[in-house]
Amino acid sequence: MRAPAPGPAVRRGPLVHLLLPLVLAGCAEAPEPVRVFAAASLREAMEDAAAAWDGPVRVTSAGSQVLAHQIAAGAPASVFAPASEAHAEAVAERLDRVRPLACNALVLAVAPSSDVQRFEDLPRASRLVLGTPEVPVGAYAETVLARAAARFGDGWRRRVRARVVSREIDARQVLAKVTMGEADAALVYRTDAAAAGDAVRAVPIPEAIAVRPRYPVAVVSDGPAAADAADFVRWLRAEEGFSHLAEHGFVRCAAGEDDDAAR
Amino acid sequence: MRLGSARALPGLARLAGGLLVVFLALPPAALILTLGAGDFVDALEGGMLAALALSLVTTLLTAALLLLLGTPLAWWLGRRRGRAARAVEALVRLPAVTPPAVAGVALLAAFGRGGLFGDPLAALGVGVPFTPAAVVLAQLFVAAPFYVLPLAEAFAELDEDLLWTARSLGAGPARAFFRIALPLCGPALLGGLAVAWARALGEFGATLVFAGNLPGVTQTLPIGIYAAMEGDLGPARAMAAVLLGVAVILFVALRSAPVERLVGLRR
Repeated sequence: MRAPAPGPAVRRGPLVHLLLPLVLAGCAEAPEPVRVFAAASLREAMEDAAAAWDGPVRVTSAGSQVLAHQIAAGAPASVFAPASEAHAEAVAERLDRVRPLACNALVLAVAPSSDVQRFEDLPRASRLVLGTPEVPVGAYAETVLARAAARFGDGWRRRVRARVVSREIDARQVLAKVTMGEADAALVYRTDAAAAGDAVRAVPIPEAIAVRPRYPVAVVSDGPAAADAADFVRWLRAEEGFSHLAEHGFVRCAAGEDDDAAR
Repeated sequence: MRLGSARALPGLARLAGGLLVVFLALPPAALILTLGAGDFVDALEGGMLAALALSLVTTLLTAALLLLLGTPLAWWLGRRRGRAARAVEALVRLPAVTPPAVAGVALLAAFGRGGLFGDPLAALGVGVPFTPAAVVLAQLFVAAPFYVLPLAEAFAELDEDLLWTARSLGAGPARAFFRIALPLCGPALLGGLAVAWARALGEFGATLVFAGNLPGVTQTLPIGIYAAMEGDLGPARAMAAVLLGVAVILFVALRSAPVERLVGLRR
């Protein structure tokens, strides 16, 4: 009796043995992770919240505009949390209901040695850095400067403009120029300034001209793990989830607060 | 049929090469074909001309600095074989393998206000970051290897006897260099200069970190493109098409008759 000829599976043995565990792992019960696209300024807060949630969450963070471009192009996102409502509106057709997540504030971050004590002293800064008008942090800065001009005069604004040495392309780059000692003042998010610790001193912006950046959140229609994504967003907006954002300085938006997105 | 001529390429090899040509041609072609006139108008209103002018001026300065400082260095590297020469060669090669953003951080660490030479520079009243000078330094740093190394290689392959003959006929070292060495190494010089200039023209990462982004002061065309991409993509693509056009003009101009005559390749 002849032994049966070895089938193709036997001849391809080594490869199959290498690949089989990978294939099986892919079929295992591991649930598909919720993929959160979060604004750069939300990164650490969102990562903390993701780690605390009872389920797998992957956080991707970049400038809100970059994330909006990616979502518009069909990137596999489950949840979108940009730094301004305008960026959620830009991709509204790919989102379920957009709801408020958290509010932030803009502060004037100055070098520890700077003699800028109050916001009004801003023209005394020697090198001021802002975001470009296209990114949320830069758009909010433009709103603050416009309101400040109404209060302190156009001359004040002109002197401030003359101090601007760079318009950086995301919120973290703006702050980095001060922490590295290249600039001595920058308009940044309060949360980012707090995270920088002693490297910068945060000078508050007077209430009358302050802006309140609003961070919305929405589940992406047809995104991966849609049911889990809805659960995650509900949890994030409720007491326990929000506490992780609050630890990083984010606050609840007061009801009826007007949208300060400067676009 | 000559051996080694293009026609000697077997069909399969020709297909392989053609595939790469198609792959390289498609993205720029798509970029240009999908552009509307409105995109150029938006780009012009978005400050494209100022960015283009800054790119041209700074890269021209970078190219001049490469000719002035890079040519003597290439000569020295090409004519020396010692350990010192090899160490310097490795040093010159370094920027080519350094990610540009890292180069920017390194430039800040050296010439920034908080950097190694920040205090002495401040004493002289000089602040480098956020100035057009920082743009040129960033370009010089990343582009230098592309000019110096090919030229050093060409100098190394130069026939020693030709130089000695020139000297024995009464030519001084400078005359021997300009009349013999430079024309013989002209193609390497022009080729290296073109690639280095193009690298400077496209420089983005090191410039953004070291020089920042301020329209009219430090916003070069590549940085203008990136800033525009934060908003609408149309103007950014129009600016990118202009940048490609400038690069093409540059490559053609550097191989034109007047330029070749200048380095002695033509009479």
